[in-house]
Amino acid sequence: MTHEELRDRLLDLAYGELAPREAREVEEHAASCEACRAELASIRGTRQVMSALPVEPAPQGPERILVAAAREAARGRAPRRAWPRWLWAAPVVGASLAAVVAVSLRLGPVRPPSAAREDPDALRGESPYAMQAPAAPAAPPPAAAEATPREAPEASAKGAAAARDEARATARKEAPRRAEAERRFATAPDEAPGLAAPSREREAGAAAERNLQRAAPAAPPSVASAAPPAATPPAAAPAPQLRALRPAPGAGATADAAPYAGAVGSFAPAPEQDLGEPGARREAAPSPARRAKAALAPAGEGVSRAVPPADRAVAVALAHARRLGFDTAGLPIEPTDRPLTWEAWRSEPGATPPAALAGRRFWVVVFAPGGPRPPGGALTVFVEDGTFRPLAELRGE
Amino acid sequence: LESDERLMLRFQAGDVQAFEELVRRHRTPVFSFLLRLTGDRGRAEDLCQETFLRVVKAADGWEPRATFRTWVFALARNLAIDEARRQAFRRVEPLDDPAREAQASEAPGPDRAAEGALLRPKLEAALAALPGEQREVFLLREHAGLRFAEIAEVTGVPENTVKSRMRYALEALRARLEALGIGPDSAGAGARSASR
Repeated sequence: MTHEELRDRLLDLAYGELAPREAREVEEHAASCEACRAELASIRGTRQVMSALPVEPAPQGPERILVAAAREAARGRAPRRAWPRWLWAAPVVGASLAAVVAVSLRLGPVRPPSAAREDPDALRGESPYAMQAPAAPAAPPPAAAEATPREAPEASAKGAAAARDEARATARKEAPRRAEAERRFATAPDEAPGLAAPSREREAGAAAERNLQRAAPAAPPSVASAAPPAATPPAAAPAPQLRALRPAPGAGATADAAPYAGAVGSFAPAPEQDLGEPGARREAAPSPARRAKAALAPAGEGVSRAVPPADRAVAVALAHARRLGFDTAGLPIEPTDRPLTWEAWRSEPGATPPAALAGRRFWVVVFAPGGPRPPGGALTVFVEDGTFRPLAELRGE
Repeated sequence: LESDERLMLRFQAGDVQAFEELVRRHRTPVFSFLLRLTGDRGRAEDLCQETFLRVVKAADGWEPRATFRTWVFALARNLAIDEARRQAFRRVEPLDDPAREAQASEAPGPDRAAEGALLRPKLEAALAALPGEQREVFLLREHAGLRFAEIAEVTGVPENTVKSRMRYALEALRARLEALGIGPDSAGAGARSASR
């Protein structure tokens, strides 16, 4: 090593951050180099003097508050560890499927599904599939398929109707295949044809489907595994199937607006809680004290990689505010404790969320002046969860 | 001794005692860091509590990628910076107000005599006189015991910058203490009794 390189390492040496061999090399150099020796002595001498400054003991009292807060948080957290999300959902879905299968098997020989009834073979009880997949749980009954055009926009109504006819025709001979196809669709929603919904709605629908699939993992294969592999997934299946798995509360109010309106509705707080997110449930209604505690957030710069998502959201929001020329200096920062959805955020009084937020999960970061109002009032920034990019902002109250 | 990261994972799993142990281990270093960063005991207490409340809040999403200690000091430091910005907005004394120096040096304490020859207030004053970015690096290295690479992670600047700030800090302290007639010899007694 050169003299400069060795000199650069004097600080590391004084603080014991060098490997033994390197430390020895630097020590030896310092012993023979007057400048380095003086510098090393200076560092060590200053450290020695400053070490007379003791660490200040922290006050004892607040520990009780911290432990109480930890207990509250742990209460909400512990069950999730003991009872993972998929385990939570599996018995419910499993029980539903078992019930459907039991009823189907019981009714199958007596009264086959309507699609099969049109099949002469089936009426004679000679269809090879009549017993194998009657009204398979993953397959929407014709009644559900007929409901699709009502809920779909005009743009996709024709496609849906055609697909429905096709599905009916297919059902006559290929009931098991249909079950398999729909099982496949349930795991690959983006591959389904005939979805003419606007992209935003489609994204929302896809997100909802992900949520739903999360709630019902591996359930359809238990039914479809007995069926032969299929070639073509029918088009009209998705929406009814989604609703069959999890009817979205409040879907009726928005069912005419978009094919996935009901699915988007499943983003509402209550179903999310149903999906087993104790964190969200715990933070749904923080006490005023907790909200006050939540008001503080770091600047987001230089935080380690393990930075919590709320902090990342704040960092992104700060950067966005700066880009907008909004002076955040000294303003209290109020991030949400969890990512919210359009519906969850809208439920707060006096808020009108921008359309860009529909169907997305986002953190809301409010730069809310509590004391003197700065020029321009408050600023609210919406940061998408996961990607951590700003989606929209709202100025004023 | 169970590692901080293991304790944090236990806390994630709902074990509150693990969190209590984390608080016991880190409360004093964090408080001490905050006290000397802000120069205000009340604010340091609030910020210290806030830091651990944030640990509670963020425990769900925490992953053992960085050390717990690095993370908790990053939280404390960022909270202090945020607080300083807020204070500046309210036209209260900023982080590096020279007035804090006097305040720090005049802070009376029951153990003042025991510290010997008023050494401690002078050291406090010398430390408080450092620019904020040098002071935080000095405190994180000397009092928090973070390595330079970890300080770089906490402060968000390259490690070389951290070391430069540390050199400047040490040089400024040396010059100031020398001006006060304090050298390694005069600090010997205090240094032996110091905890670090």
